[in-house]
Amino acid sequence: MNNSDRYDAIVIGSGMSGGWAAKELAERGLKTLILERGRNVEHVKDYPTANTQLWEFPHRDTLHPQVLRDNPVVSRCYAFSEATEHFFVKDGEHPYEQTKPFDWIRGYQVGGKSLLWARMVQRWAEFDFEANLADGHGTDWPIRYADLAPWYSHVEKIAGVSGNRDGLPQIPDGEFLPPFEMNAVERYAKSTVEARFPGRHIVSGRSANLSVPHNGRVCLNRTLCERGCPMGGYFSANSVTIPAAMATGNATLRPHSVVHSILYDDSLGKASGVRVIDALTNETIDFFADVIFVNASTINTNLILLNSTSSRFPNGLGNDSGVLGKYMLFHNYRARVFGELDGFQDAYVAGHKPGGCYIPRFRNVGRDKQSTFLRGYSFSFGARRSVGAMNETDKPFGAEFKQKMTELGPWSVYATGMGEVLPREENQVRLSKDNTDAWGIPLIDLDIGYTEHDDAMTADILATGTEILEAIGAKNIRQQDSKQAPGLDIHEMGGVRMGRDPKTSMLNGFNQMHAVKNVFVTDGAAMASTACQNPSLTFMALTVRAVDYAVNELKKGNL
Amino acid sequence: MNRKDALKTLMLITGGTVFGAQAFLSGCSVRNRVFSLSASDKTLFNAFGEVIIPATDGSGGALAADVAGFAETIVRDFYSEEEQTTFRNALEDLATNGFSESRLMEFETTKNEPYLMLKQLAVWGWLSSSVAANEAYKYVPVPGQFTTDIAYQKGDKILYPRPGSGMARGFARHHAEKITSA
Repeated sequence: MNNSDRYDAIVIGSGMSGGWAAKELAERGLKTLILERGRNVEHVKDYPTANTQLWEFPHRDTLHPQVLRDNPVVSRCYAFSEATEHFFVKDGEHPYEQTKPFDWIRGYQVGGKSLLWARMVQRWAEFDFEANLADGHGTDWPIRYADLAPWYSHVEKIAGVSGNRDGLPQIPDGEFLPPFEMNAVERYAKSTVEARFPGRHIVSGRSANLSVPHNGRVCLNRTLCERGCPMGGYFSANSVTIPAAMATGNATLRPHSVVHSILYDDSLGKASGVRVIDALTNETIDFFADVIFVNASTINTNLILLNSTSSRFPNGLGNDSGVLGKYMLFHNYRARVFGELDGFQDAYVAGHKPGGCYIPRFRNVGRDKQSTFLRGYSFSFGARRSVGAMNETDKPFGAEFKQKMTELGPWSVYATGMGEVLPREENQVRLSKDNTDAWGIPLIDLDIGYTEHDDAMTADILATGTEILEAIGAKNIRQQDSKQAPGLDIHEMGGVRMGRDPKTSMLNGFNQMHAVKNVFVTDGAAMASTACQNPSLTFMALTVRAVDYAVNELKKGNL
Repeated sequence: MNRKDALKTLMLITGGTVFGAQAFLSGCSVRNRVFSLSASDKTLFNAFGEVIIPATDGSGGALAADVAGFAETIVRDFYSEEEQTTFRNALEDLATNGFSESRLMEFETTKNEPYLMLKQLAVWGWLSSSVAANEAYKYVPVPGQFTTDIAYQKGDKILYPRPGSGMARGFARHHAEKITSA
């Protein structure tokens, strides 16, 4: 080994959580290598469509049908378009096996999917960290809300989160910039629903978009977020954490670095480094460090650990318990309810709102007790004025037809459920026995599915969503169970779960591997349950907390 | 959500079926890259488009938006050879037999598919054009803020539907759904 291969810390992955690991490690003075399997995406410079007008796209932001046919998985993602295509992994680029159907949506570039996310950032409740212990599904979380609360704050202050202090235990208040306004119909829905259904609340969604300028960044309400925002109007690794890491002078960013495995040194009894395949040259290169953070995104983190075998760990790094790759999790996003509303014809808005409203969990909260399912779900909720006022009796072409296209229609309202799924050993990922990728690394096989429990919750989401829409007087209410495969929620979690007992978990309360003390896993793979909040904020808070612990342990000579 | 709104409106303006996905439904891979429209084809298509979406007070129609240029791109890049032939024959029919309002109304009543294909291209091309955005709607690419409680009266110009989820995008997603469910 030579000095150029040697670092204090290596972070695998530069996205939502890896960016934070890199920033915090570098700011604490550690020489940090950031490994990213995709290309570099520099803030502002590498957002090629950020200012492209709709009519400037060759096909007006419509993907070629051939692209859609060749990429059935990624084409199911709502954000995949002619404007954003370059930030998504095409199906053929990194194949995977599906014992059960799973839509694995990926972004292989610096910043990862933090460029593309939907930016909703609700904190977890105290009861979310207690849920596994309370009902016996999954292992007990080794931490509680109080352990994470200061680190939520740390992340929120830097990222910038717009939200209202609603005082609800389901979604504890954080360090908020002013909330984005709710429109007239949403305010009416809030007052009506809260009066009619005690325990149900409609709040302005907490969003990592800036309602006011923050740390030199500003949101101009264009709502073209997924193309990359030149103003840094929303949090991404590209706009916040990676530049901060690089500004320290301590970080080295290495794109095109596909991680093969983590190297384990038997004599030291810890990991010594990371084996990388250079995606451009196909060269295998080893890098060495005292501490390793694994933030490759949930499924790839599982893949790397499963592929990191040694005589000490023949079944994957740190996998004494045998739980690596098991207890995979996701969110049930199948159910939505929508309809139209009469009235409010004189109400309109100016500008575009980069978020929506949120209905925090009310099932199995307080005195509410459900018999058909455990835990609960939240809704994203909103009302929008539809465009186009034509009726079936109108002449279908001509001046009047054109005029009707430029008039407002009725308000439409929607509620989309986001349900917690229970930890189950059967939901697993495994290495393919037969097939490898372009770099000789085994493919991952995904074996993750719904249960009757999820079906029962789906039925209740549709029922209460309908109740809520009926309460505000919506008409033409339609229920939809998309039955979409797991994965399209893009909230995959688990496989390297945290826990108190090394016999049943991979990581301790600081995301540190029980069996390999200098390896930390702080992306979605670490999750021991999902709650029903959008998960990225919790990944980020776990990451900054783990870095603080790791740096202190390193200083004490414990790693 | 906007997508659902868009699709509902689409049903009304397109007659219910979006054309141009047949090649991909049937699994054949065809891109007839040499497809092009002559100057007279384009003039004809724009004139037809102008009947569908005419210039009115204050905003240009299909001609100003050059929907023929758009149609040429889509038919060339997205359509199967069979659909390209349908498009050509429909255009020829318009050249020969004209496109009086009564004729178009008859097409609407009978849900004439070649006609609907042309109409959709005209509507889609106009809706996604700078002419529509800047003249028929209020296009504010950089709002700088989001404010509620803006009073609206019928006749006020409305915000151009957010790119990426507006009606034009609805066409795209309609295509996508047909293809990915195949």
